[in-house]
Amino acid sequence: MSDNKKPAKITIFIDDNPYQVSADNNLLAGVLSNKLNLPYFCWHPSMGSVGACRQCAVTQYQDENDTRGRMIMSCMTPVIDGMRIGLTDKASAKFREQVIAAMMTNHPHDCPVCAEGGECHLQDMTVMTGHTSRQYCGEKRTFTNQYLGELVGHEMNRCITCYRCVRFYKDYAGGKDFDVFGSRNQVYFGRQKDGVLESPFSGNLVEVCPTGVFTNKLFSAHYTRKWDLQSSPSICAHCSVGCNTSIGERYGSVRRVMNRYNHDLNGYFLCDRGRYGIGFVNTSSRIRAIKGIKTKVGEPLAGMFNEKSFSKAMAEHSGENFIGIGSARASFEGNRLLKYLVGRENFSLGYTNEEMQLALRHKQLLAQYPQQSLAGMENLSRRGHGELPHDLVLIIGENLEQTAPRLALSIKQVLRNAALDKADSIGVKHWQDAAVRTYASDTSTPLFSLQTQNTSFDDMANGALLLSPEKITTMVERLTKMLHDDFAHDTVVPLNKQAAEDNQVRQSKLDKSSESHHVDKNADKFLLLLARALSQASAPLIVTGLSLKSAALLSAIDDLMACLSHKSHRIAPELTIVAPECNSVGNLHFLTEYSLSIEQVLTRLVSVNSSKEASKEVSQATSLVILEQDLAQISTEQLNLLRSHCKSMIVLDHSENKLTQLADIVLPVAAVSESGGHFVNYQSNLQAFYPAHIAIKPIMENWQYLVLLAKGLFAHAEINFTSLKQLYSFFAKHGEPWALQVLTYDESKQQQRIVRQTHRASGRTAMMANQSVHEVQTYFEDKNSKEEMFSYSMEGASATSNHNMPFTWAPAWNSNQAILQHQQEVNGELAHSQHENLLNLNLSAFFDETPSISLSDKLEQLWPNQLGPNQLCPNIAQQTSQNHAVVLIQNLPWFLVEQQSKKLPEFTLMFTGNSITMSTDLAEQCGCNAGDIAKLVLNKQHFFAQLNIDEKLSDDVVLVSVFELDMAVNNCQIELAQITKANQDEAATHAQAEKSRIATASKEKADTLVRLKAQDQTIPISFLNNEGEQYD
Amino acid sequence: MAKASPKVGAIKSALDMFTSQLRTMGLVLKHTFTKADTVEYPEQKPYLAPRYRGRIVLTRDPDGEERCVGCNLCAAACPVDCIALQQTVDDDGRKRADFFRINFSRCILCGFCEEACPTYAIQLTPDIELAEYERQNLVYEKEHLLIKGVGKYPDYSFYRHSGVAVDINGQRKSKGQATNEKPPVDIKGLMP
Repeated sequence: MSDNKKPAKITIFIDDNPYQVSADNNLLAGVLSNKLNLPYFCWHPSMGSVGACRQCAVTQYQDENDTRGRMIMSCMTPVIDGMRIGLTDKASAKFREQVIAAMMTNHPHDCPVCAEGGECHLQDMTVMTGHTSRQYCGEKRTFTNQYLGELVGHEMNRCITCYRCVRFYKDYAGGKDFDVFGSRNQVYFGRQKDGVLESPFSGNLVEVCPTGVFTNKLFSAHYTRKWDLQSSPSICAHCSVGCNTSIGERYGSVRRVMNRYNHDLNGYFLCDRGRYGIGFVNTSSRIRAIKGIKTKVGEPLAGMFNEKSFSKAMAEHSGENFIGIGSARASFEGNRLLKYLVGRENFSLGYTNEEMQLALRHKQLLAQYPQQSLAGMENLSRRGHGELPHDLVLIIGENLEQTAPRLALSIKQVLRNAALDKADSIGVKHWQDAAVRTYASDTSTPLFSLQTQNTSFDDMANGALLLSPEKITTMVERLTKMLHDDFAHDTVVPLNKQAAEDNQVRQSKLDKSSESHHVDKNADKFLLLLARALSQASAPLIVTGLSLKSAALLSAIDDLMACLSHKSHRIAPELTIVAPECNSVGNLHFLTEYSLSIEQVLTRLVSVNSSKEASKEVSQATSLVILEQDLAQISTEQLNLLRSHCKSMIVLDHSENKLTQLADIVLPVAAVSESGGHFVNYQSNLQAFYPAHIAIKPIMENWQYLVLLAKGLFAHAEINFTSLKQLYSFFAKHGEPWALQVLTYDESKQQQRIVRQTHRASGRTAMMANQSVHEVQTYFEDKNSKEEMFSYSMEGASATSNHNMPFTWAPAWNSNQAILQHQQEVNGELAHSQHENLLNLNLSAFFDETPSISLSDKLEQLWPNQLGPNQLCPNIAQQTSQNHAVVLIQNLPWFLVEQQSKKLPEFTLMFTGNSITMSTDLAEQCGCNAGDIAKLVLNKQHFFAQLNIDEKLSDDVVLVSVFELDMAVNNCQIELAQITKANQDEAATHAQAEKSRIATASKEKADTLVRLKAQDQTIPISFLNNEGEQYD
Repeated sequence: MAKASPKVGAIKSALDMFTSQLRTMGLVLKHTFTKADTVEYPEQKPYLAPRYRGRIVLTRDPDGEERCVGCNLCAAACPVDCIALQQTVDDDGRKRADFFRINFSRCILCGFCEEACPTYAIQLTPDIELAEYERQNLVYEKEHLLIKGVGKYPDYSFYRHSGVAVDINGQRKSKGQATNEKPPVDIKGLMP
């Protein structure tokens, strides 16, 4: 596998016809790569073969003269040059049909009420084998189901015991609470007892299961068949990985998200935040009307949209100066347009000074170290290209399952590299899943983690330390120093020759370096192990992120990377940085020396608007335009200051938050499911997403509102786009490379628009007939949509004619397994291959012009961080005496971390309650015991949480998992005195609050369903007159 | 064939004309005394077989519960896309159509929906009188479609065969209680 060549293709004969197959995969993969129909169940392209289902039997012939042949299981058979197999011969066809017949003996008569129907792999395979009627008349085996939480439904009767679920959940994703029980015909897949599935990847069971044992509960509650979904290719908006998804819509509401295969990124799997988080677009927290604009009659502009009165209302504000605040969850286009409208001196990314410095460090690292794709990391391409597989993983200060779950899943696969290599050494191929796992049972690629909190990687790690962020930085610095010395003296010794003396040499070095630091022996041992492992690794992978908001940590990692990549040509280190939000990296593009931090915005507002009052100047009033930003990291005081000093506040957002409460004008913008644009993922890859349906006015896409504002507020007459394409052309004319890239990419596409609906989509002449039997032209088929790439119709170019497939389907393959028919070869790129559209992050302003000043000085000048290095949330933690200072670290579960998906009631229901975790010593100092209700005072706000004690925690860290406290408030210093034991009244109030949160969420869940069902029958229709203008 | 002389031909055709007229008159005379095939339609209804394809109904199972489980197969089969529905799950575990709409102004009464229906819910009836002055009145909702009876299939009850747990006649039909089902497996049992 380490030879740097693409594995040779060899020729095999299937039914006497020659076919080219990859020598490195099994026969089944070879057959499927040639788009031949061969049924299978237990084999999965990403999980390999176990030979459990016996479905993929074919006949192998000795030579041309052999007419008898012998039956083999194709998934368990390696390909040999010139081998001859029969696919259509009677014996194997009959065998495959009888395997289905056997599975069908117990399969219930459920298809009409099964959520998998219409996209069921078992249905497909049954049809494919020709088993058309049930032969068995006896009694069927039954099982009782389990409650598996809010997300995944369980219907065990339907199981065909292919073992895919347990192989995914336990083996692939490392879950511990799901297994297989029983024996013979009574094999049961589930948990030891009823309960919520703990893994953040449980939703993949829905896609992995070939039939309907596991179903998407949210989808089942408001169900529609796959063939009726109007789908669009989208990008997950819930973390920086940017997994490709397909959003399905029916009757005007979003129904579900499915994985969309991207060879480089998410492959076949999504995390549950990505799969279920989209539900936020259906909750009551969505803003559906314009707030704050009065028409002549004095009625608020609710439900209707009239462009003229809107412009008139906006004209009132046109004399004001505007500062624009963009955000990391708004589309790239939205941010770009806002920046253009207000001008670069008046544009802020909504970052504090500290975050600005952090962002710049991030930008610097990204410019230096190209980020690997997930597939590159997992080295799926190791079978293709010759990149070295990672032989060491170091995770620094980022809880991956919390901030980027899909990345964590990939890291788990990286850790299997050692096992795959070990198996390879005795000739066991990577796809022999069971054999690899048996032979290389606990062999794992070395993993080291430096974290502030417990993570799911702890028990896999060769070394794991829990430290405060500051100490993590120190550790990285020390590690760099050790490695630096090592490399300088060339004392790298292979691991298997660990000599005692070597140990001592290192120990003495350590002693010297640790004089200035007080770190205990554990840390020394850890560092020693890590340094040795690093110096022997040939392709270490370092994973870190921005969630700790420590610029110092990033610069320490920069040094470490510099040391690793500079010193030895043997080492090809890779760095992966997890960004906080879906478009954080896109925002880095707009980060210049002119960008304003929140503090600077505040200063500007206070100085201008108060001086204005003094000098009675009329035209200088300064106002804010805020785009999809909630400024969650700043304190209420700062927020009030911001509000009181700006003349008017115009907020564009899709869901209610603190800012929409304060704003003068709120414009409802479309959420990701209803809008188009680009997000830039952690690799700085510009990925396009397209609306699954058109939002109901006055909800409009952010750029559409900004275009209206451009006319009304900013007097930018040149901004009059009616489509995103015009926006790209505009910025391309201004010489912006990203727009040019997007445009050239667009133009290479075919002329015909691609369908969003399947050819089987139903109900066209009935779905709106209750409102009007006259089949009206729906409003979304206006002239502007002609420029779009996708049509809201079943007519047009095939959905699979582009790599941005709205949905996956192939003749005879209705399930998601149809993707195999669209790959160049199994696990390969799509037939219409994707291309990376990397954003060029330009750093010239910071490095070239003033080389005399160091970067940190320059940063400090631009965005002074007066409050000291670790005051990340300045006004939340104001005065801390060093004596009892502890660091507050966010420990929210993965489903509550992201702002948008947090609004999903099911996620709230999954939350077990507020908790604060600390070490015994700290708890004693607070006067609390485990199980007590603790009171946390932050910036005059009170939070209550149950106190947990974790011995392993560092003495200067407090882990906080409080529903009301946003993830953006992380790594800030607080005084221990801020945590006290709550009195009885407070504890009772807290218990009440927890209960009411659950009750509210349950109600919200029920209400949402009721609202959606009502909405199903009121699909918005508006008639078009000749000019294409709307009237109602 | 040998050519007949023109004279003989003329005589033959004249003879043919004469007999044809006589025959026609005879037939007319005969029909004067036979029973008419046409009926006085609105007053007199024709006999339509039970399987005649007319107005569509949604039937109930023998227990009086709605048969339709909202599986969408009828809608998918419909060549004119005139069926729209939304499935919902009720507290009794049964799936039903939240709304079920047939636009009869589009329906071509082809009967594909009936063929597609896995639960015998949707059935075509011999009622063909579907004319309306207002087109909008041809849009039938679930309340207009649902009848009280079982239609052409008196005995079939889908949920008695299906493996899902639902209420039948107010009683829970749990796992293992459907037709041809063994009691649920005790997964903690140690017996081989």
